[in-house]
This record gives sequence, C-alpha cells and structure tokens, in this order.
Amino acid sequence: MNDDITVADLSLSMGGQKIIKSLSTSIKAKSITAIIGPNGSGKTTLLSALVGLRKINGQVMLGQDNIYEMPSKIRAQKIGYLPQKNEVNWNISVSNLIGLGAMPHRFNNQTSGNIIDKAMDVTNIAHLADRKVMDLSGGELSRALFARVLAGDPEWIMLDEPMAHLDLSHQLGMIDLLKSIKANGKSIVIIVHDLHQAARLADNIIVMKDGLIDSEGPTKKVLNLEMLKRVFGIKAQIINDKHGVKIDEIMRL
Amino acid sequence: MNKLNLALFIGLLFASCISLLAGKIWISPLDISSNAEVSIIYQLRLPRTVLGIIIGTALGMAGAAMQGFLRNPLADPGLFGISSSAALGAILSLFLGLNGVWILPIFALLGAALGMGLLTLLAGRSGSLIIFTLAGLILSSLTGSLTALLISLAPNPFASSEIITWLMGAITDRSWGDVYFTAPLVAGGMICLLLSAKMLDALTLGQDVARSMGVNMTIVQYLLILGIGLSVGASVAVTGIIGFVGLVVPHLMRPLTDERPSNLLIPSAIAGAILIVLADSIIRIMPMVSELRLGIAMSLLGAPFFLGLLYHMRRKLA
Repeated sequence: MNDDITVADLSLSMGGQKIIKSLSTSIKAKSITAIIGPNGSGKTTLLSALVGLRKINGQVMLGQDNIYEMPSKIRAQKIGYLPQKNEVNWNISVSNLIGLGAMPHRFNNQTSGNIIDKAMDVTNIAHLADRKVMDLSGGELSRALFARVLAGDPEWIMLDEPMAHLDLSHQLGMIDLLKSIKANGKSIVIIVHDLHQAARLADNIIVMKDGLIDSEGPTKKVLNLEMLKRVFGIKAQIINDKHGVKIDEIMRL
Repeated sequence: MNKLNLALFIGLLFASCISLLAGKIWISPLDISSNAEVSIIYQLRLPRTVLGIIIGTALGMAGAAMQGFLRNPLADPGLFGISSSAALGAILSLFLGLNGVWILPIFALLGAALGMGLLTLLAGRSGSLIIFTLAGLILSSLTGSLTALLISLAPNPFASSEIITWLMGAITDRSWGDVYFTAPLVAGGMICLLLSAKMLDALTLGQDVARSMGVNMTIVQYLLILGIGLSVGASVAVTGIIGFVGLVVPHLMRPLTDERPSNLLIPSAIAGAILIVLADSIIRIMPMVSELRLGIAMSLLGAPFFLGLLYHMRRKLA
C-alpha cells in the first residue's frame, strides 16, 4: 500500500501575504525527508500544513486520505508534530508531559505506562521522569518534548528543528535515534538548518525558497554547489564519499 | 479519590458544620432540642450553607477551567463577561420594577444566555485565544457600561439602591427554592467543564500541539462557554456578583496538585466551596449592625492576597 504524502497545488496565505505558492510534491513513507532553506522561505508553514494545522488551498493526501478531511483523532494517531518553540505552560512532571502524547489513543494504563517508559528510554531521559519541566535545561526539555511525540506512536513524525537546543553530542545522538526510528518503519519529515545534519540524516531533501520548492530529490543529488549558491548565497566544497555527503569550507558569497 | 480531594472534602464538612452552628444565635451541637433551633438550622442555615457550597464549587471550578483554557494563572471567569451579562439581566428586572419570586433569577439567566450567545458569535470558530479574550473583554465592558447606565437612569432612589446592594453579592436569606433553582444548572455546567478536562491538559503544550493531538479548539471553546455560562450564570442569578473566588482558589490549589489542568478542577471546586462557606460564616458572626455583603468581603480578601503574591514574586525575581 502506498503511504506517501502527496501535496497537490498547495498554497497558503497568512496576513494577506502568500507564504506558500502553488506547491506540489510527494514525500516518501518510511524514509527521512529534510526540509531546508533560508529563513522565511516557508519551511515551518509547509510543515504545519502537512500536519493539518493551517487553512490551505490545494490538497494534502496521506495515502488515499485527505489530511484536511480526516477525523482529527485519526489524524493525530497517524501524525505526530513537534513545533520549533518549546512550549509547556504549567509546571508538570516529565512523565506527565510525555503521557500527554498518548492522548490520541485510548490505551489502558499498562500500555500507556510501557509506551511512556519506552519513549523515555530511547530519548535518554528516564532519570528525569519525576522532575518538573521548569527545572529542566533547554536540551532536556527538547528531548522530553520529542519523547512526547514518540509516546503517540505515530506513523509520521514531523519535526521543526528538534536539534536547535541540543549540544553536539546530543545532536549526534538524535541523528542516530531518528535513523533507528526510521529503520523501525516510521516516516520522518524534519526541518533542519544545519546542512551537515541534513546531509548526515536525510534520504531525501526538499529545498524551499520564497514559498516554492527550489529543488528536491535524494540528498546526494540535491546538495550541490549550484543549489548552495542559488538558494543560500554561499560557496562551499562538497565531499562525496562512502559515508555520504559532507560540506566543507563554507564561505559567504 | 486522591488524598488532596479527601482532605479538602473533610475540610468542607467541618466548614459546613461551622456554618450550621455559627451566627447571631450560636447553636451547640450537643443540644439541638428546641423547635426554634431546629427550624433555624433547617430553614435558614442549611439552605444557606448548601447554596454556599454550590456557588463556591461553581466559581472554583469555573476559575480552574478558565485558567487552564487561557493558560494564564491569573485568569478569572469574570473575564468572560458572562457574570456581568447575568448581572445586567438581573438589574434590568430591578430597574423595571418587576416583582415576582423568580423574575430576577430568570432575567439573570436570560442575560447569561444572551452573553453566551454573543460571546460565541464574537469569538467565531477560530478557537484563537486572543480573539476569545478580546470577545470576553468586549462583552464585559459593554454589559458593565449598560449596568452603570441603568443605575444612573433608575426611576427612583430605591431602585438604584436596590440595584447597588444586589450587585454586591450575598447568600443572606436564601431558601431551598434558590438551591433547587441553582443546583441543576450548576451541575450541568460542571459536567461541561469536566468534559473539557483532557483537552485542557493537551493545551498545556500550546494550541498547535493540542490541535495536532486531535483537540478541536471549537469544541473546547463551546464546552467552556456552556460550562462557565451555566455554572457562573446560575450563581450570579441567585447571589449577585461574588468575585475573587474563581481567580484565587485555583491559584492556591495548583501547587498542591501535579499542575495538570484536569487535576485542578475538582480540588478548586471543593476549596471554592470551603472558602465561600467559611467566609459566609465569619460574616454572620461579625459584630456589625447590618451584615457585611459576601461580595464585598471577598473583594476585601483580594487585596492582601495579591499583595502577598506580589511580595512572593518580587522575592523570587530579586
């Protein structure tokens, strides 16, 4: 069965300004797709449109189903979303926070307990279970919020810059974790600013520029000198070896 | 029932006993013999205590739900403008000089219903908190100014003094009739608020995440308007405006819970009842010529409470 996400003629305005202009693409299931592009190119808006949160023109299909016509509970079971901003309004405990993630499902206590434990294990925060969220560091909170998404056990995981608050070691840990989640059959869409991370992580890349897709395809193909110059205005050396693509000696043009 | 709710419940039982025994005439629990004492308790103090419990529960839970919905620890159900709409309805009946046992509360309920309808229309389907808050502000400033207008246009000094006295809420001289009138409405409202509990939890993570987790913001908004409209509207209809409870009680209870909005609703309801019942008992035994109005007593409590809060926050920030 085809579980890909297909976007057809998507356009979206906010405050009278067109943020996304007639965009069509398809995103492969069971792979990692990175969305990259300069600030203000429409990455976050595109991602939230994929989650079903915006008023759109056009169509976003998950397999055969229109995301905007699905019952919201079903959509929530299929798609997990982590926004860029770390927002937690009340000082709840980490385990309660992660427990919120299981909300779209009607798990019994045993099952939800197991899922919460597993989500804390893989994100390496089991030791923080009883801590209150306002006592966490930025990176710890990021990981707890990511664990919240995992606790919903969604098929699709949509992440908006999940590594922004993480130190280098946790960034690498996150990359490995995302890869292993993919290996378990999940589909991931992730907004990344750091092109190194995109290169390490993604199977496919969508490059956004001015509300349109500049280019898209397999990481090796998309990350090229012309694209870097055209979209980001930078000059760099691209190293393509058996470990994948690396970008080096970046200079501003 | 968890430990906190149990403790609060026992507290409420104590407060209720005090409320039954205390007053200008103290009644000893060991010696309730004369007919007069029995009828003081059954005809006067019991309905007053039960009404206090109903109102306190309604205001406490409404406040907790409101703070959860707006994600603001200082939000008050009064921000909705529903209590002032209900008050406007009640005052209209006084202004028109309409007499009859149930005229005033029914006018107040109609006011509350009209307020709920207007709020729903103004807020629309967006489910946006800012638009919602703005709609509530429009409603409360509109009804507030209309209330002032009615007072200034009152046909005679009696009417205006009656209006002003009524506005400062009280549960003095209330009967079983008032209890039967309020209880079902408040119960209905509280059911709506309890139905929203899980969605309020999800809102802890912000509106977008809550929506991505399957929460329909329009439904939450309707549940809140209906829940607060019924419980607060019915309370105002029989007691007038009693502020402060809905704001302060959830604030005091929050640190005693795990801070999940769903777990704050019941403790705030019980603690609201304790606060009203105790405050009303104290009012009764104060040596004053005419009884202090409950609404005034509550606002008087407000200032030192906020002073304490301010002091606490300043120390934390220093």
